Amino acid sequence: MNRRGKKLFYLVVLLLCLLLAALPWIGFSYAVVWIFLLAVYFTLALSYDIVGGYMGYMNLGHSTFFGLGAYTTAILLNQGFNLFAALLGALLLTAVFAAVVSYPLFRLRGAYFALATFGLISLIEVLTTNLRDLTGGSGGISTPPGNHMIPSYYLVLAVAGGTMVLSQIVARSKFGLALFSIREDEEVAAAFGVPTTLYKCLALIISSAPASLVGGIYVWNMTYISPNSVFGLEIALSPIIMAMLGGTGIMIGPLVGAVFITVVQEFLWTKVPYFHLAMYGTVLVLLGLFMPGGLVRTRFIKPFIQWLGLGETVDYFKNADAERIP
Amino acid sequence: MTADFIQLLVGGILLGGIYGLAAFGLSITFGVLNVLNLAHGEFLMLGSLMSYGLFIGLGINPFMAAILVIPVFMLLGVGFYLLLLKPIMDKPPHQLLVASILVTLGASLFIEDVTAFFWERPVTGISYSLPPMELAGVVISSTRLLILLFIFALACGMQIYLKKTYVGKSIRAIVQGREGAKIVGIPISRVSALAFSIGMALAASAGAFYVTLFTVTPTMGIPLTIKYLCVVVLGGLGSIVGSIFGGLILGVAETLTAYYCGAEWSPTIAFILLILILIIKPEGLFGAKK
Amino acid sequence: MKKRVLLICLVAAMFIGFPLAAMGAPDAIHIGATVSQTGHFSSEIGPFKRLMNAWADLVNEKGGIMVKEYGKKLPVKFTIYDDKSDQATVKKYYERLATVDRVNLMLGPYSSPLTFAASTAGENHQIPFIAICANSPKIYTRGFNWIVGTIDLGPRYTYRYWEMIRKEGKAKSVSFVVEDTIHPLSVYKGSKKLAEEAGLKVMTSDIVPAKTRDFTPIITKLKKENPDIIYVSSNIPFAINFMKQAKEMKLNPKEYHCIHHSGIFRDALGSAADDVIGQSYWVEGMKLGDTQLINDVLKKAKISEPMYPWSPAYVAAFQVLQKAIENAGTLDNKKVMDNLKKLKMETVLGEEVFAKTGYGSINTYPSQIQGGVYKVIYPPEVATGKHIYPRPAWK
Repeated sequence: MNRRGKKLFYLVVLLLCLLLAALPWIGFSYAVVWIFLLAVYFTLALSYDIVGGYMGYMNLGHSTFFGLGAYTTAILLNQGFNLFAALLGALLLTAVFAAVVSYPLFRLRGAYFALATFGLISLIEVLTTNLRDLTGGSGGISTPPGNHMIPSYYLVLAVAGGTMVLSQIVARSKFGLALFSIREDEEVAAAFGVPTTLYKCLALIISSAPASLVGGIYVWNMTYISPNSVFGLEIALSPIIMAMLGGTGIMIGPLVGAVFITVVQEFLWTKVPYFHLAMYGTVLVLLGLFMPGGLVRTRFIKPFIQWLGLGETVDYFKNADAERIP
Repeated sequence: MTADFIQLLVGGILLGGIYGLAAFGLSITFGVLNVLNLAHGEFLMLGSLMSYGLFIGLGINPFMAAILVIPVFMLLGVGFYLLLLKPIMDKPPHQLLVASILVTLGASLFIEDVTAFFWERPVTGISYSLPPMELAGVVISSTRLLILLFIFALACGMQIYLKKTYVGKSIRAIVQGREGAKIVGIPISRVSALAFSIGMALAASAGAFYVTLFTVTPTMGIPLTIKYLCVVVLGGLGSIVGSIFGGLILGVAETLTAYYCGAEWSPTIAFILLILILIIKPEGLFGAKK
Repeated sequence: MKKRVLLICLVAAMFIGFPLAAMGAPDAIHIGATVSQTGHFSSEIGPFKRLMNAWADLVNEKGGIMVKEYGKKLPVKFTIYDDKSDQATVKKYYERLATVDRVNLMLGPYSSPLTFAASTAGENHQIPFIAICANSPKIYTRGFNWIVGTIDLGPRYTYRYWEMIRKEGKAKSVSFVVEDTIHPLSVYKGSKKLAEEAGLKVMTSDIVPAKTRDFTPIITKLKKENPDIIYVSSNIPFAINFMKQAKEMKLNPKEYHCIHHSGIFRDALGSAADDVIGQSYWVEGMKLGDTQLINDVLKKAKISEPMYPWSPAYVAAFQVLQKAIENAGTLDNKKVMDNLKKLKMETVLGEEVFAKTGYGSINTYPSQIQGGVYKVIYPPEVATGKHIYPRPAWK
């Protein structure tokens, strides 16, 4: 049953991929935009989860990488570099930034780390606003105009797919195992010889890469960004909520979370004339009260995940539901 | 030159008084419950709106309003705690962090949306003001001075309460160690609920003052909460004196930075200070080492 | 098998949000827009869904807008989404309006950054786009062919005030306090030039973060400088906080100019708002256009003009929309757009004509709060009061 089930699953996945690839040509241009944004948020959620879920450090400032990637790409595009050079530049700059801030930030734990990283977003936002000559300040920055919807659609899907592969590689590697051990008990991990400081820094750099890439693709598509649109609350919190809602620590968690939230939001925002934000808030509250482990760990979905052959990933995190109190 | 400096110093201290008052309640809730309560700013906003309503509708001045809001919001605080926080308090730490963010963020969005719907005006402020005092060329805002005195009085009162009363001592016990407090037989749930409601009532009280100085809008809650969390962490968890000092230091730092470096760098100083403190002394200025 | 069904349902669920068949009825003029009902613009534009629907109701009571091609009046129908004050959401929903709802025309969202993102949908799908509260020059320098903007460009926002100052020749110096947000910044840049051209000395310009609440350092500095005019280019919350503290610290220039100083400003400040000059599109009693329409629409929508002073600009945009369709005689996108571009009409806020790159000509007038009443003080043809200068100082 399992083998047939797996074959079926891969067939469906293949069909989905074909559908996604063909979407722009079938003529559903709204779906293209919709999935573009979904893929951006999903990639952010998944890359967040490497540090937030695998390693257990809630990096609320993950969107800093997104914003840095976006602005760097915009500045380089305006200087005349082509897209790939600009994206590469963004990737490198953000990676260096991640390495530099990991030193002070990783001395903190838990809620303090979360708070400090959240503050980091504001710090970078202020810097971006103040360095007017470089970034255009509060007026925002615009890149050479053009309709790049379709190529950026494919690009972002490629990055999203790549991030899924990256996430799986990390989860199944020795490095990933080390990250889980840091999450379970950092002191014990260090005592067992895990180079915690180095690995934490590496994890942050790895998680910054997809974020900065989608930031660059985003600005190339939008042709205009302002500090508020890339460093604001919406882009900061949504991916993290998606990861938490779907289930942190599992690769498929952020995917489930991203799809669920985007669909729910679309429904609420287009069909419900008032109070949609309040309803969204209520959904969050209910999830926090009853399912903080995420959707994929609920009794209904868990067996499905195992049947799909991702069961080992779920079992890895059995302990996540029953942690010792320090 | 020095006259300016003194004016700035005075201004900074007075500004810090406001921060201290707003953060005061937060230091209690964060210290006792150890959850990132993102809804703190919402209660401040609601307190502001209530004060506005009392002023416009009944002509009650904000200082009176600051006292009147306390019982109302204590009740609301208890309700909030029982409904939203109690169910998640006993979860393991990772889940607690996740759950508390989800729950308090969801509650904040809910409160914001409902308030904005009924409150339908772009921004709210009241024209209540007291004439300022002038001392050797330095202008001192009377309203802010009163707020500063109010917070000092409140802090002293709170210190007495925590040191002398049974409930106060239970709260301190919980801050020092939740497990230990349980073992000793302290009714954690009830005391937590009380501490939380006190914290929320203080937030609302700060809000009652806030509206006399600054404008209020339904979406101001979350950014303010983050700022005051920084003040609390700066001053040290579990230390009431700490949060007031944290506020004062922040107020002075922001004012001086704005004058000497330019207003645009003033927001950065808050986070730079925070990160510095977290690196040098993670427990905060007055926090106890764990 | 159950699980396969589940998976297929999950995939199908992705498409729940949008109806695949467009419901564009040929028996209505379908207009699309977004309003920031949530997010940081919600306090400035939140209730405007009502404004649009109120106007639609008023027009439909008379049968609608005349479209010669069909030989009859067609009713107006709005489809309005909430854009959360967020750029990505705005882009998404304007795409939706263009491709799923297939609207005939689009009205812009609130603010330049959002309009920037929204107008690309109009350009890509060739649908006429009327920007309303968006006056950043950057919007109109992209070479777009499918956009017009109701109001004049940001840098020219206060040109009439500077004309007046220059004619009077009394003020000699000015200091700027600028909120670091796109609109105030753009107004400031233009005003600085206009001030210099009017012969004033620009002493200092402080560009201050938008969320600043405490102005003690700046006021201390301004007291030392003592300019004749203090020009506060900002949105209303910023200006209210500044003026409150300025009064407390007894900062007494000869004149205050706060570009946005509508009803809430006055209510929140009380006597501190006296004699402050700002910019208004319209005040009661002005000899300008036929303002009855403004009153009717606002009354029906239950929106008060002093609280939302940009509402008359929306009414002007509605008039533009109606006239363009009437002139075109058809709902064909290209014809409507052509007629929009060459439109020249008297709106409730004065004459509207569009520049080649698309921005409009409707602009504001300097108005002074005198005894709690807003009086337009220049130019003389439309003025309702006289300029009080210098202002009585605070003791």
